[in-house]
Amino acid sequence: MGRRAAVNLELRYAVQALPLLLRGALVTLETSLLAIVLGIVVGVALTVLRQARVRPVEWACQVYMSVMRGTPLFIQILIVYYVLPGLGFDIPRFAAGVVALSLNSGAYVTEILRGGLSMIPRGQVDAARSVGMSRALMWRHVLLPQAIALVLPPLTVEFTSLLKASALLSVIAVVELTRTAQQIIAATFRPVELWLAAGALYFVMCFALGGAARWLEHRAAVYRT
Amino acid sequence: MRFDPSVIAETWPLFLRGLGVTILCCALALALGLLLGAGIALARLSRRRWLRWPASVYVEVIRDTPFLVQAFLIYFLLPRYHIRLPATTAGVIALALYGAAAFAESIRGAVLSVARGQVEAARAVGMSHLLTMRRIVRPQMMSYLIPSLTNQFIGLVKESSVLSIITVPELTMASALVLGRTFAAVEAYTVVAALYWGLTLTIAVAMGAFERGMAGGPRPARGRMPLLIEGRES
Amino acid sequence: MSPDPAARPPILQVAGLHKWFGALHVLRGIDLDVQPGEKVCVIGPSGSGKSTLLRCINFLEEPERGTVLIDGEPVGFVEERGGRRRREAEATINRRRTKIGMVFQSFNLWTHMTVLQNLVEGPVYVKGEGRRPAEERALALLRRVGLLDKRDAYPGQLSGGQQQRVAIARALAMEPSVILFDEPTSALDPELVGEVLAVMEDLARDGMTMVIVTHEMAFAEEVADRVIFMDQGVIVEQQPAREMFKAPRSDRTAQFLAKVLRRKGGIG
Repeated sequence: MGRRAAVNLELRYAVQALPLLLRGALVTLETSLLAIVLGIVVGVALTVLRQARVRPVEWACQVYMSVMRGTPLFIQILIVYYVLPGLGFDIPRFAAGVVALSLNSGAYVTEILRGGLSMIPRGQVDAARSVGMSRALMWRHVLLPQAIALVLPPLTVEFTSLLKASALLSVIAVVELTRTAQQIIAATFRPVELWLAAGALYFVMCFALGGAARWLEHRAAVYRT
Repeated sequence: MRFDPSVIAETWPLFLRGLGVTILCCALALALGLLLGAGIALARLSRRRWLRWPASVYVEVIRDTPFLVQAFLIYFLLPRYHIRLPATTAGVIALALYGAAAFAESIRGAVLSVARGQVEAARAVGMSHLLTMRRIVRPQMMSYLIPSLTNQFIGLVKESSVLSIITVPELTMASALVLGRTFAAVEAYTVVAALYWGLTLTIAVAMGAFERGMAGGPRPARGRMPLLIEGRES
Repeated sequence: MSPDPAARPPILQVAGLHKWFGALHVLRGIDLDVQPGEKVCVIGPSGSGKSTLLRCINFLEEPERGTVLIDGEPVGFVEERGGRRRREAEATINRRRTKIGMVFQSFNLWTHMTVLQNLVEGPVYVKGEGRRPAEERALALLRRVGLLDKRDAYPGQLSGGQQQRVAIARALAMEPSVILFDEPTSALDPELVGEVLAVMEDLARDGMTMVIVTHEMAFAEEVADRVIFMDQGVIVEQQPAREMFKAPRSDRTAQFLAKVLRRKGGIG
């Protein structure tokens, strides 16, 4: 034996753990899905607020975005989990995690929305108005469809980021993929195999989403002349 | 919710020490990551498939998995090879490997952002690949590269907070220590958040000044920008 | 002033050129010889492969079949015994390119350099010339194209016509054997086309060998020794300029000319 057994990788532990890990992955997907949906709500709210010509409101939005984007998500999760109960909000850990992720995501989503809207060519609005469309009609038939096509790719990318970020929820004991892996490691003492397996599952999810994002971008490119 | 400043007065050495470790780890990871990242970017741009593919696989794997999992893997993998390293070293390695992938993407994006016509004119005049890179691409890619790298540097600093989970005694761990000692969650996290915020703002300002210092001469020709907006750093 | 083909060997020899882009067969067997001092204009509908032909000549695109010779030396692929081809070394390809000048539709002046620097870059960094003689020659060229006063300007500060004239000077600075023009005026506002064509006419008068892909039929009739009509990847016909416009031999040529000349108001 000697040197060649130094690595000692036993993949059967990973294979046996697969069903449990997949259940964890499901929770990961749940949290991320909720987070992106709520994140879009937060993002839309921020975008609307930023349009307000009220200095303190604009300023508050800027500060919010700067803090959300300039501090670690990990700290934000810990703050929501430890500080919010002190404020009287006693929410379960799953909800706390999703809230933290959403608040963070919103700061990025608002930029995505702003960027997407700016990419619709000015000529589209001109053409709609010269044909006599009302503002509502113009939004529904011209602007919104194009805007949605344009923001879907970066939103998919954001969703992928949330998927990866959800791993941090393991620290506040949400039983998603990372936490599940930790539990199995505690029982089997095979960290390398389990982390490889968990990593592979994350990779499959994120890689697939990346492909989806690229496909969506390809489709949206049709809207740009 | 009350904020008790005396907590900070008692515990600021802990914060300071944590901040120092964070800065050290990030600086090291940044330097190593840039070096490695530049190499990976060149490999991805190379015409030779045997260079391109491993580099692309590396970047794809790092960017499609959570940094926490990567950190765990490095932390637990090395002892398998009977390499006993302190947690901080393992943490820096993981952070550097993560940064390298991110920086490689920035560099590659910057190179590709230079309009094709600029490169074609250079090749048509007989410039070699290397000469074209040096005389035409590098000067023009800087105005894209610096903002992009700034984003990634900030991402690296934020990601470093994850290292506390593999017991690296950096800033986030300091907040946990203070929390354990004083149960003052509000104070602990406010200070730590403020310190991280200060760090990222400093990087942004410093890079901004650097960019202005480099900006002599006119703006370069731009190729088509990709539709995917540069969102998060990760 | 038609050159005598028996007198000197052709400066440019293209043989059996084929190029595919994926499944699209863009060049379907092009043979072309260009004599020293000859001006050849290539006309044809878009998608006919005209630009691809030029880009294969200086190896910006790699043909799947066929060879190109400049001054008798192969560019890109060397023909071997048994009809096979060997790819030349990068350094060799770059050396050949210095003999072939190219003027692009989108000018492609290096935007981070001044006009003078653009002209001097190739001679100094590719051919290893001294900076002083290169600059002197560059200034003379700028005077020739009428832009000496713009020598310290950046491309972004110039009009399209001015940029293209600088681009022509940049190609001349390399002292090439032949200059390829890829639709040099197609991207220009109409009122700027004239100044570029004037420079090209001047070049032609001085005896430069030129291969020009263009839609400017009046210019082609005036300047070209030979006009080549390309369609769908083949050379449909080639004739001396006057004959081509008066009496095209092929129906496709006649149809194309009718469409283009009607738009441009016809040629006298």
